[in-house]
Amino acid sequence: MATRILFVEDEINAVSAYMRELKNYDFDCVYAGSGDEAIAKLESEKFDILSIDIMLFNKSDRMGADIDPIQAGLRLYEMVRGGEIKNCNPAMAIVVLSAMTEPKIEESIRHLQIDEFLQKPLDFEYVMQKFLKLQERLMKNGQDTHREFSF
Amino acid sequence: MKKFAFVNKSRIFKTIVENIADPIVMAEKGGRIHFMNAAAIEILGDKRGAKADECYYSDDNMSGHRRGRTIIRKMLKSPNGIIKDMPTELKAKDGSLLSVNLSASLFQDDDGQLIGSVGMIKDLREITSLIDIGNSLLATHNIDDILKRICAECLKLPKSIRAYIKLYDEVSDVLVPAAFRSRNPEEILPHTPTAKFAGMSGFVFRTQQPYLSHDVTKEAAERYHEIFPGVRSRLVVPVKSIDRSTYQPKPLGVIVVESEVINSFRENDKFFLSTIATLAATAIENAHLFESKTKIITELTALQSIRETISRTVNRDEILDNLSDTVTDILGFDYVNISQVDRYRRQIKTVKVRNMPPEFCELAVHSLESEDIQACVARNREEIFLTGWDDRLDRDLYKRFHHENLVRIYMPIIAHEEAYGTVETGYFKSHKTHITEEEREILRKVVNLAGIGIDQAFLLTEREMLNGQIKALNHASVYIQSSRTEKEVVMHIFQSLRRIGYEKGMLSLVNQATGNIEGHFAMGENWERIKSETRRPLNSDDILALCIREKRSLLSEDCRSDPRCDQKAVKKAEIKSQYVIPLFLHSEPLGALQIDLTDLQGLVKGSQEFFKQRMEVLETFAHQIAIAIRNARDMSRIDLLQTALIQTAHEFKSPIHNILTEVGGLQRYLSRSNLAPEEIKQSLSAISDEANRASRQMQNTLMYSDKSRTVLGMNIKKQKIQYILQKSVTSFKMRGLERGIAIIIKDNVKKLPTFEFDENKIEQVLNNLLDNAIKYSHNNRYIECQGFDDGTKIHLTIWDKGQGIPASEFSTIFQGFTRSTYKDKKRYIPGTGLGLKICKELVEEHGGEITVQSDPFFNDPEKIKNYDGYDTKFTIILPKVAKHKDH
Repeated sequence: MATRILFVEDEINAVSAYMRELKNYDFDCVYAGSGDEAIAKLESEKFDILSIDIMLFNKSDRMGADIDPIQAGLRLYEMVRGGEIKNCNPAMAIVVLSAMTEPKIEESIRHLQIDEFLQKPLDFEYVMQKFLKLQERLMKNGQDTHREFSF
Repeated sequence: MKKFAFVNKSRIFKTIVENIADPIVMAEKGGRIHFMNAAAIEILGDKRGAKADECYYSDDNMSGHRRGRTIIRKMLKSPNGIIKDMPTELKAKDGSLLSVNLSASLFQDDDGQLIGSVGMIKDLREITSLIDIGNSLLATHNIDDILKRICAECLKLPKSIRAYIKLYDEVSDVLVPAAFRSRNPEEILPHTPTAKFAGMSGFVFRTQQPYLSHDVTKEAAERYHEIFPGVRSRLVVPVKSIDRSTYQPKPLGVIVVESEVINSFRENDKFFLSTIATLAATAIENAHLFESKTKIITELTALQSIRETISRTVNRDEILDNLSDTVTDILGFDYVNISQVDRYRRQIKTVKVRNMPPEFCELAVHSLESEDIQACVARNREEIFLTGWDDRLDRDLYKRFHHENLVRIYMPIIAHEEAYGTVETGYFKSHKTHITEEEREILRKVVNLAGIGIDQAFLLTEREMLNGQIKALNHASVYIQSSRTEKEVVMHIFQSLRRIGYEKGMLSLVNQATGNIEGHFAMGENWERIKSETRRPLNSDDILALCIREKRSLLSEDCRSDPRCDQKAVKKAEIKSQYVIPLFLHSEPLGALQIDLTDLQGLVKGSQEFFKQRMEVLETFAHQIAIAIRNARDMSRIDLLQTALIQTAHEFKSPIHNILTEVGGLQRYLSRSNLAPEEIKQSLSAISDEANRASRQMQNTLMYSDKSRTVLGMNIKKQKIQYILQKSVTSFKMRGLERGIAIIIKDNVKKLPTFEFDENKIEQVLNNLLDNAIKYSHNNRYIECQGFDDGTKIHLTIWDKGQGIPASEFSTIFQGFTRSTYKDKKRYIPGTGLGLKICKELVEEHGGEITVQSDPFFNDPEKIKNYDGYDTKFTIILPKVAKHKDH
């Protein structure tokens, strides 16, 4: 069964190369351009990996009107881990794939319970290896691995 | 008896002897007194027929009898029976001791038989008097004492009833009674001066000859003016000395001795009295000398006292205290009363009193414009001398404090060319009834000196104040200049102004768009009220517009009657006085600073000089304000540009990252499926390289912006630096190979231990250093990376062989936006000059340092000869345990 991965990224060009390449390695890649779209996809489909960009400039009503787009991705992370999204496993693997942002935000990302923090600019090969390693781990542990998260 | 018959018979002899002024006594052989002349009877009493022994004085030492025998024995022993001036003691008529010199001779008849003796007495009383007077001159310098003593001596003249001395007063050209002695203790001499040539005294004063009147009733009317009733005889002698500069006789006055009996005085007494007069003259002269010496000393002491105080203190109160001490304790005035002008309240009030009731201070307060005596003295700067009532006095105070008992003088204290206050001083009439011109002169000097002291104190305190203000403002300027926003600048300006005593005011700025000058920042609640309403066209006649047009500060002393001031605003903000300073920078008008002087009327109405100086301080400050406002405006413009730059860099970030991703994907795809020829792969590699370069450049720009730099956190992890270096080297490999440059990592790097550092930051450092190394290296060389562990620190060196850096630029290359002045003529080397600055900062954040070394190729003599290039080594030295450096 293919590893299902949801890329949340407001610019599709930032991830399309990965999506294309990952398909060759038994990945099923889905793209969401905004927070709202991501939440909708997470509610309706099942994913193994969630790749989040922290900066999400596209409008997202469900994440709160006053959300700062610079760190909107963090909100999405909280919603997943906090079980705020229906039918979504709060313990699912999460990868942050983001450009260097404000140091403060960067600092808070380092404290998140995530599987990978991939900071742009990135060596393509390097990212590929990270995803493949993650896939390997998920396969080994089984899909239903539950991890404890504390906030 | 017979033997003396000729004495009785010879009328001639008798007349002579009778009229001799000196006492003469004749005695018979048996010792009985046969004859006494009038003078002898006068002093000894009529002892005719009595034993001569009775004339001698008896005391514990010797009996009168024995004294008499001693004299006779001495006569008998002498060869011719004569003794001359033998001192002995006789008994006066009243039984008192009479020291005399006795000259005597044995008296023989024609047959040579001793028949008696004749003696002549020299009365020593006159001489003892003179000696006494002489001694008294030595004993005292008090002229009153001396004159009194002289009078007492004069009374030793037989039959004298009173004696007095009149002295000539040059100033009023009269004879003034100076000393008096009477046998009647109740009697006093009226203190009325007489014309210098009037009456008997005047006559003697004019002729400078003694005058003896045996019977004043027989004198011509103009020669005798009765003062005391019952006077019959009178002896007047002149008192004169010699003027030391001209050697001319200098008349000083007269001595008068009176008796109530006619013919009381003899011609002889003239000489006695004249001698006394000479002594008196000497005494008076001496006393005068001493007095003037004392006066000089007093004056010096008084002036010294004031001088000492004013050199020691700038406390005006202390100077006034010392002034009142000096006037009373040194100059000897009975009381003092110092008032001070309150320029602000336009009042004059007593502030210091000595020997006056202290409540006087609270009571004596008068308007400076009033007709009060102190106000007049201060206003007209005149001296006033009073012995009693004056209409300018305060009647209540006069009565309440018994000022009728005062003789006093008022003097202004002049400081700063204005009356600072007044001094009132003087005597209680019971002590002294006059203040002499000399006393006034000294007082004037003392008061003037105190005035100078106060003046000095003013200047000093003003200078201190100005210095303090300048210091405070200079200090403030540092903050003001470093403020980045207009608001911050103004906040500091107002704070500084408050610190130096200006609480209220407003800063208005020129609005170039509307051509108005508008209130921007208000200091004080009252100005806040009118701030938003203040909007004056620059071409109007409002004071704000005027000061900018005229390019000078303007003072409005009374805004309410000043047509330049907006009356509505003046009323609303309750402004009485203001100072308006225009703010200019390079002749470009920025605005105006209004300083509210309503609460500083003392400053406005006070010394103009001081006001000017204080305003000058403000004007200097205003210039700095202008610069600061401009700076803040420029700064905000720069901030804006910087923000824009950063935003732009951010905008570029994503596309470049995306390009890199796409290229990465494409490269992988192509190599996996082996679809493309080598040329395409090379082209992709070049695209990737260039995109990476753009990305680095952007990273540097973002790093440089304050915003990202100062808050950049540290992510310290224990790790191996060789992996980071490897990663960097890999990304530069292609670029190096393009120009035939190999990057070699030495084994000593691989052996470096793990240590603490921030991966991202050190990677950035290494990227920048490798980037430079490739850029500045000559073609076909190699770049070497070396490592060294000194125990506590890790040294990592990037060593290239290229165009090098002159030693003179070692320090500047780390300062940012600087690039080596040495240009490679063959090729263009791109860059912003930020790289090394960022390296240095990032390394220092780790508590480490970066060093540079650049020398001609040292291992290749041929290259050195041709001067072909340099070994350039950049070394980063990082502590193994990272120190977090505070920003």
